[in-house]
Amino acid sequence: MENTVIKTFTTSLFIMLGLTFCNGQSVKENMFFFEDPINKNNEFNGFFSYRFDRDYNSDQSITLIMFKVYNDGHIDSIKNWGDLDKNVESEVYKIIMQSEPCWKFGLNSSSFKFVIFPFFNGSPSKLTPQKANSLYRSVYEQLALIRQYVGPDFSNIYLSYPKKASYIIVEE
Amino acid sequence: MAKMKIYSCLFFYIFLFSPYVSFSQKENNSSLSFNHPSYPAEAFSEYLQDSIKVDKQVKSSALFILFKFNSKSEISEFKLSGEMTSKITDDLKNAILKSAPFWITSFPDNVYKWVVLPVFLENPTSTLATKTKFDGNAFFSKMEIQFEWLRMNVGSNLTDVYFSAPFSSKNQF
Repeated sequence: MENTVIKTFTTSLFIMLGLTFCNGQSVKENMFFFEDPINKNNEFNGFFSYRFDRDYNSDQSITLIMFKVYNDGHIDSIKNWGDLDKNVESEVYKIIMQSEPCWKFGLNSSSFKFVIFPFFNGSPSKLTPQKANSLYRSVYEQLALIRQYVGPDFSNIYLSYPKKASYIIVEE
Repeated sequence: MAKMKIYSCLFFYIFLFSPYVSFSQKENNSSLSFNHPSYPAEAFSEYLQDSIKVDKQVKSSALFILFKFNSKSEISEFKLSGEMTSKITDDLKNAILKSAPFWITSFPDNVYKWVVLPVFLENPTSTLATKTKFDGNAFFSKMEIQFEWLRMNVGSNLTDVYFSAPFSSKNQF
């Protein structure tokens, strides 16, 4: 009888130590991250830029694209509140879907995460004063709508680096 | 003998899983909210709109402000992603500091939260003769830098981020 108790105690102690180790690991690996199998240094914006050439035909646009990644590896609910050209939008969404295998969940992460991807596109020469005004207003509105959609708690959000389109050095 | 085995099993499971149950509960109990009696819940940007007056000729366009909260509702590490005139910076900073009593924190002492406040001060359609014309290309390039700055400062996983609705001067849009 004593043996049973000692055995149970020893076994539970060993399993608990093992779990403690795993738990320590999971705190470290609690992050949701992007891993490009071809180039380990690539963040999502790098993966995206490699597949999407700069689009010189569209008007300049700033679009906050949002999508949902599940821990079983699939992506859905891709949306944006900007005025992205439909052809560009479908190209962008296609590349986002191609990124499905690259999203990795930490051991303690929630079952899904929202990704916000700031997408800058278009040709600077096409920006008339009127379009510049609506671009300014559009960024404000998109941030307000994302905030309305998600709420103030962004703990389930992954923020990607932006996909940039401008190479002009701005002087203040 | 059978009783002993049952006790052993019970002990085994309670001993094994209790620390992990409490750990997972702790993870979900971290929140920050803005609650002012004169405003709807989480209406921090509306509170700021009523707290400061923005000069119509203001030059700054759009940027992010970041500030840090500890569990005692103390605000620290005020950061800006771009430049603003010192008058608006001071006014906004003072209004933010005065908002401290209206924030409700529920997280442990060693945890902190970042508040992200998008700020839109310029009226691009302004026809004031003294005002510099709004430069859309510069705005575009600056916003790329602002989003990059935000990502660098808050990281990829926004686990500790409270995102405020954007602030603009009253009746701007």
